[in-house]
Amino acid sequence: MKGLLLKDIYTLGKQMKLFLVLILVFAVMPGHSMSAFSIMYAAMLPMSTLAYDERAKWDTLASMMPYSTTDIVFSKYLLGYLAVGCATLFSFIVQITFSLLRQAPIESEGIISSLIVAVFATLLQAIDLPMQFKLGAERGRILFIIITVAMTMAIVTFSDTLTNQLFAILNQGSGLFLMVLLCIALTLVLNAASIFLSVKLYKSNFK
Amino acid sequence: MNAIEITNLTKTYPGFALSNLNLVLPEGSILGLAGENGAGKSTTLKLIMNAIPRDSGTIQVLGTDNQIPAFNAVKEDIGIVLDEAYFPEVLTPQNVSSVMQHTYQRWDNAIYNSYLQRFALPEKKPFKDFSRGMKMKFAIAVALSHAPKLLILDEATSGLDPMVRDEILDIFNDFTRDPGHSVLLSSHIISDMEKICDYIGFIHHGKLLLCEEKDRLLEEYAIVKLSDQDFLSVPPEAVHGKKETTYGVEALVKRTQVSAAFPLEHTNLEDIILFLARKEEDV
Amino acid sequence: MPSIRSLAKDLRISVITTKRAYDELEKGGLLYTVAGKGCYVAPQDTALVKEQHLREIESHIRKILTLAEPLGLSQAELFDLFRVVAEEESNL
Repeated sequence: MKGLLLKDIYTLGKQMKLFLVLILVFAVMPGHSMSAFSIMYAAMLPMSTLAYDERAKWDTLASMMPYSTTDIVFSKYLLGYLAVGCATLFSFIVQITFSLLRQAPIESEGIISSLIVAVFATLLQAIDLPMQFKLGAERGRILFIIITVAMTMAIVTFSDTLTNQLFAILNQGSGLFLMVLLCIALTLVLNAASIFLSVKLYKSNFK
Repeated sequence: MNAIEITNLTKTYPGFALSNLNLVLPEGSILGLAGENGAGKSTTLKLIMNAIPRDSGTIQVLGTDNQIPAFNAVKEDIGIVLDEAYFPEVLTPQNVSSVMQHTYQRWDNAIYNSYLQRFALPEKKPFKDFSRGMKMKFAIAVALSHAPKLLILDEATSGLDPMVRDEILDIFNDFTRDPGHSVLLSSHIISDMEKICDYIGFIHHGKLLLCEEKDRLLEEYAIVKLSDQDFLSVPPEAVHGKKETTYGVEALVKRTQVSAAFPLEHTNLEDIILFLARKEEDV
Repeated sequence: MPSIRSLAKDLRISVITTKRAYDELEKGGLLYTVAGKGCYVAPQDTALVKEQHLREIESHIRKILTLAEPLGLSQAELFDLFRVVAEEESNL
């Protein structure tokens, strides 16, 4: 799988460099949710690689190399996780550093919002990748945009209610811990299901 | 052991059918698969690697059934060059080297680099800037750099100039100095296959019309060029394809089926295949 | 003798054909194989080879006589012809 990841990173090339710059820029910009942009950008990277793969008919060649179908599918997810993880981690580090420098308490809002976006991005990936594997890069991309817009609008609409409820949970002491746990559990379950589905869909393209 | 054993292979697409293919590639030999575009060569090669599903039939590659999970490990021993499937075009040979290092267990960078040098391929240029010939040479370099036992080559010499083609054929020839190494190559350049193949198979509209020792074919068949009148005295069962010309008839005959009194000419592989294809069309 | 395979590859001939060639040479007594070591040229029975050549010469002579008959050439004329041609050959 390392080979596949390397291939994807090389394929992204300039996009990767841009990504690293974005992580930096958005992390240091004032405002809580700027890093959301870099985290979302991270989730879109696997999609790009799928488009390049399709152009080169890489799938045919890859099927003749000693990769397992799971490797091929999971490497895309892994790419997304690593990218989202990097972006999120970086935003944490920057926020904590700033707080330390200002000798101010760490603002949990920033951390929470980054975490939420990370979960959102991973969920988006979990929904999006199976579609990409089944429909191919072109149609998958269109569907991805539709779903992203829909979900973003939903979140924005309900953001007030969500934020209030979230803070209610948080103020119950163990709330933060519980929420983090919930996030992780949700992400894991949905992603596992998504990976399983993607492998099935990828295999069904075998004709 | 046979490098490849295909039994009763069938694959149907809308408008095309590969039917009941039986083919054997003995270990240590080079088998050339001839056929026009769309005859079924690429399909056969993909089926051998189980890259596409089949309707029926069994395929054994290097002693392993290619539909069982263990076949994935056998892919380590197979070097492939495909006609239209490549690495993403933005990759450079250098990129590919590190990808392949983590793909094949026996990847040898030193061998790979020596091929890059030999083929004068720029290490840091993206694939999309390569000419067709360079793309082919690059694919061959990759295929040869992980100590394969079997080479499967789809149109590996098309689009290359004669000198380069000859050089590459030499490489395939050298590859089989080791009696454990085998090559299956498909091409529509029959003269190339005549140079190095031990066996020749001919696929036409999804059917394998022949698969024989190349030298035996060249011994067996001959060309006669006769006037229409004289041609009448050739026994019809001896004729395996004919062409009407302005001055008479040119036909492919089996030496054993005609009397030596006829002026028999030596033939080459391309003629044999062309005439046999005509025979098939005439039927 | 070089191994069947290396000869085949050096000459760009099919291995099948070189193998057949070696087999036929072995059947004809010109080669022999030592298991595990390779093919070797068999020492020729010179008397046998000489006799084979003599027989070939005899059959050629018979052919000459057959060809000469319709021309009505005498034996003396044939000998003269032989001498002329032999001299030409040695002068080349």
